[in-house]
Amino acid sequence: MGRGADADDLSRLLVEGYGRAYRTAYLIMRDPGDAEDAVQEAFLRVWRFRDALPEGDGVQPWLYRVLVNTCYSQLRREVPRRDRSAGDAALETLPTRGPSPEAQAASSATAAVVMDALDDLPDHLRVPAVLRYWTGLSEKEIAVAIRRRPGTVKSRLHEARRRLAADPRIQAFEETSLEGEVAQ
Amino acid sequence: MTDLMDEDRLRHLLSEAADAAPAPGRAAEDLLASLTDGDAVAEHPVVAPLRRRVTPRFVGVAAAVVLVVALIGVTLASGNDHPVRTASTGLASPPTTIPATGGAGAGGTTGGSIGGSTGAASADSPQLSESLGTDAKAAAPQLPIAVADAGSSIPAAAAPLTDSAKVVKTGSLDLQVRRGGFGVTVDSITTKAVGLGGYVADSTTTASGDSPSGTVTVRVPSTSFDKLLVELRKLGKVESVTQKGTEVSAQYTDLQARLSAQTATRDRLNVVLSKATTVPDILSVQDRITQVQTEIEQLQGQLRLLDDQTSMGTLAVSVAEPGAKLPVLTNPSDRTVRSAFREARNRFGNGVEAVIAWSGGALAVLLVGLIALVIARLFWTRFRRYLL
Repeated sequence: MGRGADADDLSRLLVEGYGRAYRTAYLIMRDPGDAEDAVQEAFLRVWRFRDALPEGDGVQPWLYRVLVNTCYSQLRREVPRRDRSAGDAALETLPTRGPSPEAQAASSATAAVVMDALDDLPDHLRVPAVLRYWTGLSEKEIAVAIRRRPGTVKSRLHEARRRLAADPRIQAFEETSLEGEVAQ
Repeated sequence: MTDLMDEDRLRHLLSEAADAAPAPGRAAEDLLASLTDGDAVAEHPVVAPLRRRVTPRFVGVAAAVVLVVALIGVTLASGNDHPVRTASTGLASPPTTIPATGGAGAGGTTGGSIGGSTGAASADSPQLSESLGTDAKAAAPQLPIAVADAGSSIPAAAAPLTDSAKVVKTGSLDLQVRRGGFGVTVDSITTKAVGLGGYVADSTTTASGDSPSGTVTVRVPSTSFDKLLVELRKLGKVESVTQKGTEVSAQYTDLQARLSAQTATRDRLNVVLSKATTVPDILSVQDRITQVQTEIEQLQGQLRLLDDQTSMGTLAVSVAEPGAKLPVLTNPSDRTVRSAFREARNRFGNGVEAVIAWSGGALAVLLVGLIALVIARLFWTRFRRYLL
């Protein structure tokens, strides 16, 4: 896709990438409603500035850069009026447009632990970790997305992994999972 | 447990966490439909909150900018008032209008003050016209604003000029004359000064090599001071010219009052002395009379000095031929150590005033810089976060 992307091509790209973008935003924002707002706003911006869409492999980092920027904007707006460290309380007050009760029940344990751990990560560590290990962007693409040098991205990813490994909830969850596997 | 979480394990955990939040059904299609639907951008609900949040911030920034501009305006306005305020204190000395050659158009203005302000015109400035011959006292000692137009150099506001005004006129003139013309020029200076009722107060000549130079200090009646200056300018190329008018009316009046008081005291003491009968009383009164008499003579001396200074203007003329260095002129009226200290004190005061006046502008610049920094930071943050 080149500069001044065709509306149909961009529409297809956005529809196909919506789910992944939404989940990326969800992991960053830790709130389904905020994630949906962020994706909507990001897509709106992409649509408005579709003439600036880069060519070739630059599309994905560019789209996620927009998304990350939007998430940052949302976080700045949301933090003052919402205690983002509410932990379980935040999960209990998910809006109705979030995941269904069935879906929550299916993966609530893992999701709760991971989301709690992500919640404790600062934004500058959480965003690269999500983009790298969930979205699948390379370090170079993440660097483009968050406007930082690849070396910075690498160090942040390293720090994020170190903190997650040291998180007692993750450790407990991992031990429990291991015991379950052994028992089976 | 290792220090770092395994990457594959982390991918798995994040995947499970992400799967816990399935994307809303048909959200993408609905969103795309609204985007592609004509003016969807303007109507999209997501944009509105963003703009609403931004507006108060920009209003605040705009208010700050307006405030700064107003501050700058006030500062500049007060800066423009400064000369008028200085003049209104009564310290202003007669500003002299220097019209352009031929008397038409505007020229420069020079003025002075008791504190030692000196008006100077370089050789490149407009030539002094015959209007410099104006009577010193008619040159408006209390003239609040020096006007440029020679035809209206004394406005109605300067009307309360009186002959009682005492103004000490001094000046200096640096002349460069043609080779071999030094002697003739010095003679001409003397002749013109004498012709105007003055005399040569001091003369110094230096003849080093083929380029003689020297300084002639002449004194002429104050009423002829400006005329002399105009005539002497014709004798050679003017390198620089300085005029200074210092009003000493208040000082003169004060001396007169003190003299009157001391004279009255002396007269009373003489009466007492005539009535004294004992030797100790006579000696005591006599001592007191001697003290008063001394003070009276000092006051009379100061008055005579002021009379002399105000009745006769002093002009130091430096003359040099090409290649000779012009002698450094010293202001004839400030040759005493006491005067030098007084001038130093005045200049210190002027310096303090200048620093205080400057601080206003510096504060305004600082404020503008601070505001600019805040705005730049604000926009940089927005640029970084919002720019696509």
